[in-house]
Amino acid sequence: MKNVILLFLALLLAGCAHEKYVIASNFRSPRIQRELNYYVANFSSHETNHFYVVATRLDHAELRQAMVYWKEERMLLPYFELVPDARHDIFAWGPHELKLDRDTVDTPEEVGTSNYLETHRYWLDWMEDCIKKGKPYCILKADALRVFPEGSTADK
Amino acid sequence: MNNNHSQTPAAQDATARAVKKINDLLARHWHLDSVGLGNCRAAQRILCRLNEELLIQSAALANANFNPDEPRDRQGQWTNNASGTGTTRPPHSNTTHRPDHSTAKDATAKPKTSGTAGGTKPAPAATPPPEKIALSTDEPALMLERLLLAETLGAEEHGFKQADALKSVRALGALIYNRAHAKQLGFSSIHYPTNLLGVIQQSNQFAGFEHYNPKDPKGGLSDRKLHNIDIWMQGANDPEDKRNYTNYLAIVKQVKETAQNINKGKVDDPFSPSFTFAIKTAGPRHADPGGSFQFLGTAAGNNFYGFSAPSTNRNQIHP
Repeated sequence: MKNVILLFLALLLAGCAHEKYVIASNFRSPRIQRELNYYVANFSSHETNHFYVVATRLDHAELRQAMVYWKEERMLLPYFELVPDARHDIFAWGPHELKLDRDTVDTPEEVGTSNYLETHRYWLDWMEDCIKKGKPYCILKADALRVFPEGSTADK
Repeated sequence: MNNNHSQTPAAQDATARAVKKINDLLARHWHLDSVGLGNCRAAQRILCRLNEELLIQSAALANANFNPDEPRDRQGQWTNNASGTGTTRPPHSNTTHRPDHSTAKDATAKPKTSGTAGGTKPAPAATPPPEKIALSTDEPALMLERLLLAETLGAEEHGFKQADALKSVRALGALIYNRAHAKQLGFSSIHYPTNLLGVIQQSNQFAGFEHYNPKDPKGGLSDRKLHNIDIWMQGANDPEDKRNYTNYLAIVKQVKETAQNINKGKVDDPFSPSFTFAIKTAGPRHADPGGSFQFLGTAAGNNFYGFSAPSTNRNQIHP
């Protein structure tokens, strides 16, 4: 019995140690659709783009931060909900996206003091969380370009 | 009425008629008053007429010498007759139109503000245009400014406080300085390049800056990085953007000040007396730097790590 309890505690601690910021996939966000359109219009070469959005920080069900998995590019994109009247859409996206292999390494030791590298394990965990728990969005480049025509937006 | 010599003949006649009428009314009222009928209805009507005439006359005095046919431009300024003989020109004007109370000191400096007769008010002091702020043109200040701006989030647009964003800029500046001067600071077991360019170009340390090229006008940076930096600079030079202008300007000023301080060998570490050596950029980050790094604090979503004091006993640390 003792062994079972110890095993249970060990598993619990391991789970806590691996805890990430995932909070919910149910959130309200007045800007996420717009920002996904912005990202696709400016940075995507795919006609169809699938995104999975997991909230990592909420405020009374209002989205504050999220991790977005972009399936076509195999990228994780840190997302920041901007205030409603924000002018610069690019600030919604974190300074560094995480692309599998390009921005991932095998061990935490290899990450070291890098300000953007992460481990493969970390990347895969987030990708799985996004796909399993995230809110899916499908953004067509043609639609995105209608919202953000190339060259016509001041915030390209 | 005491400047008839400067009036036109028609104006002089009108003035004389008005004076005669007022005198007549005064005489009639005096007569009624002298016979004990000063409060009768006739005397009251005379007083009313007298008041009307005085009012008309006082209004006419200001424009007694006004000539509506005198040529003027769209702003009402005289377009000829610069000799000062124009009927509506104040007597002391020559080429510039000034109020008569102008002092000798400002007589040559004050510009004409309007062409209305009877003097003008001085123009309100124009607000100076907001100062233009630009990136440095010389390296390594430019490189430092670019890095600091590229790593800074939009602050208030993200819901962070401005003070928090400024702290983040200072911490990142301190981080770069500390890495480049680790040996001088006593961190003999930490291995970083010993110059600023080397620190910034170091592999896997600052995303997008590994291939920074000081000789390239764009620094070898990606369009997205440059765009981010441009937005900061545009925002700091756009006073029309009421919401963000002061915030952007404050951050860009902090960036420039931090870069200049680093250049001069000064450091302003917000986590002092600890030494900042590592940053994990805002976002749901997982991996800490590990080793003997200590978590120093968070600013604008970025986590900063470092050491409390130099120690030669610390394990060898490689970035």
